[in-house]
Amino acid sequence: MKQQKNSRLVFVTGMLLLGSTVLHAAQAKFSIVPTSGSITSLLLPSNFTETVSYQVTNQTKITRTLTMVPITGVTQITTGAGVCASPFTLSSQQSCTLTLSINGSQIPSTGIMGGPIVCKTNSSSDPSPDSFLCSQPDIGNTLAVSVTTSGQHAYVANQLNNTVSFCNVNPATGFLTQCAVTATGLIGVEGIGFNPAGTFFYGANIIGNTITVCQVNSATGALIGCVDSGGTGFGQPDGVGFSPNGSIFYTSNVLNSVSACLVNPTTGLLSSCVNNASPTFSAPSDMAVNSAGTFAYVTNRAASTVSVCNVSGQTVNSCNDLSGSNFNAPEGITLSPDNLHAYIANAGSKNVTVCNILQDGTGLLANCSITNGAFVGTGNLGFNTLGTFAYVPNQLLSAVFVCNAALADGTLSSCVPSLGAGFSGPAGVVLH
Amino acid sequence: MFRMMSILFGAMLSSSVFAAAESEMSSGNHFFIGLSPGITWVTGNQAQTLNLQSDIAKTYTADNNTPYFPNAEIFIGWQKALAAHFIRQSLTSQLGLSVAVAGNAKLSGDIWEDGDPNFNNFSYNYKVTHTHVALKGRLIGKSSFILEPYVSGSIGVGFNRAYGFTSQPKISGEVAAPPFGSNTTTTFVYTLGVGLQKSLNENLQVAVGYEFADWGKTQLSRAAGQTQNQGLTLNHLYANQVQLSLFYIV
Repeated sequence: MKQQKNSRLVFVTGMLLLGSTVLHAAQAKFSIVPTSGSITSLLLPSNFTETVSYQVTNQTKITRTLTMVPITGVTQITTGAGVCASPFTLSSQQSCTLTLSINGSQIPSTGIMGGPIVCKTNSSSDPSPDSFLCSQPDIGNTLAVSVTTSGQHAYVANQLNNTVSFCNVNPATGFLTQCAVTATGLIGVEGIGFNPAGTFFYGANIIGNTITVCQVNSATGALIGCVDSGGTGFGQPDGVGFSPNGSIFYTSNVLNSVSACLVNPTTGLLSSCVNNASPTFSAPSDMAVNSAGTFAYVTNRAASTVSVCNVSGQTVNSCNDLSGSNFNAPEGITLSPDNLHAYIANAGSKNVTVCNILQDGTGLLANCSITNGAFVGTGNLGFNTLGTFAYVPNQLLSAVFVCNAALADGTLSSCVPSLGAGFSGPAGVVLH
Repeated sequence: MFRMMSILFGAMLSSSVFAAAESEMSSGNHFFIGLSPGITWVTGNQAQTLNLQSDIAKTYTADNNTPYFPNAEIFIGWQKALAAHFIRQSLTSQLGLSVAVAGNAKLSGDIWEDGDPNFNNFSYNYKVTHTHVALKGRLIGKSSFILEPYVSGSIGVGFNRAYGFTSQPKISGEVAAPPFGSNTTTTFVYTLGVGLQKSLNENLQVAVGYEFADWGKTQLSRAAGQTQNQGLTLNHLYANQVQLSLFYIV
């Protein structure tokens, strides 16, 4: 009888021990999980700032006041609903959103590998982290930020709400992030561009018959001080081009001309505009000037042709509209950075034509073919500096698509939504 | 066990005293030196909950299994053969000074954050090296058999160096607290042993035996930034040793 009791006792004790072993699993004291859509592994250009958010939950039974261990180049954002303060107090099972702003210009060259680490706060008088009680995200969710060279911004003309958005361009993927409106008060803006020095931004207001000029914040890329350029004589301007030294501004006018204005190098304002006419012009809807400043390419929407004109100072003449093919109500034209290819956005067929630019001194177009990219609406394509990504606006979807661009033959492929948001009837796209 | 060994140790010391008193009955004192290498394992690691800060407590559980590690002892003194009539046994006593070293004892366990077993988030380990200097005696029973039994005992002062504390997170989402610091504790030490020996000739003896030792207190020092208490502390760390000894009698 006694032996039976002992056996039972041993069995019960064994089960209890087994149970306690199972229950005594490890779990983070303070769980730190990225919020939905938050990317924690970044290749961050040195001139960009990115935001990463984590949900922090106190999983212990004790109310704790918590502090993030400082990370060089990372600033905690403490405003907003549900956002963690600094420090922040969480009772058992309570959560808040830890929002971090990562500044590429302040990150050490070795990058950020790890964290954020959240610790109990030392005391109310000493809000520094107490290293004796700390947690961090699981290994796949810790910060992994590498810094790369300065990245470009993409500027998008929002023709339907008369603004300009600018976004960060991920140099590795080409995707757009952190899009925000940077200029307002434009009037049907369509063609946009920068002077060669990158110090001034110009928007052609096809409805307002004006050209807007803005200064460029060289640190952030934001547009500031946007004003009317002062240029006159425009007739539904819709394109932007420059002479190589930036002293002459060109724009195509739907009312069958190309304007050439002098640029004030200090203010960016335009003056002394002259209109160049050509019998080949037929509702010019956009134009581009090659980097040598010797040829202008003007799309003729009504004739479905492209005029290739000689350029000399403010004179645009001797236009040839016989080269190239596969155009259908061409709306926009963009030259690749190496000036070997021209991309024509067809409003009629809602696609993109790529042509070779002959390097025989004529500048004419040849071997034109339809390539990828679903262009819808007005405006033109944009390219990154390397010429490896092309950005195609789509007014119907209020979206911008990003495509891979082949440097050899200029074809576009693998076009996908750029992930940029907040656009309204995007027309012109330019990267700077 | 302790009581029995204590009695034997007391008897041995007493016999040494008798031996000194009955020097005319002995065959004289002989200087000897003994070397005893061996293996050791320790017991006595205990779970403990420490308040490291005013509002942070952690429980450190204790693993029972510790790995074996080497020890060595040098024992020098005087040997005296004597006839202890009161137990009707011919005895030989050895009394002298021993210096012993052992290490590294590896102690380990788990760490429960907030003393809560649901947050069994870290494992820890640290090492202890032990050195002691002791007054040691050995009482050897003379017999007609090949092997002669002996008991031994010592009391002295020990030095326990606790060092190399590390803690490893069991999950990637946890961050280890700063480690406890190294610390050497001076402490009272005693040993009790039994074994068998054989005289190879007039000068050489070999022995094999078991020795129990109370190494006394071990303690790690505070971690950087710790404001309360010290590091992990054991008031008694017990060592079990199997020794092979070689004695040279001059």
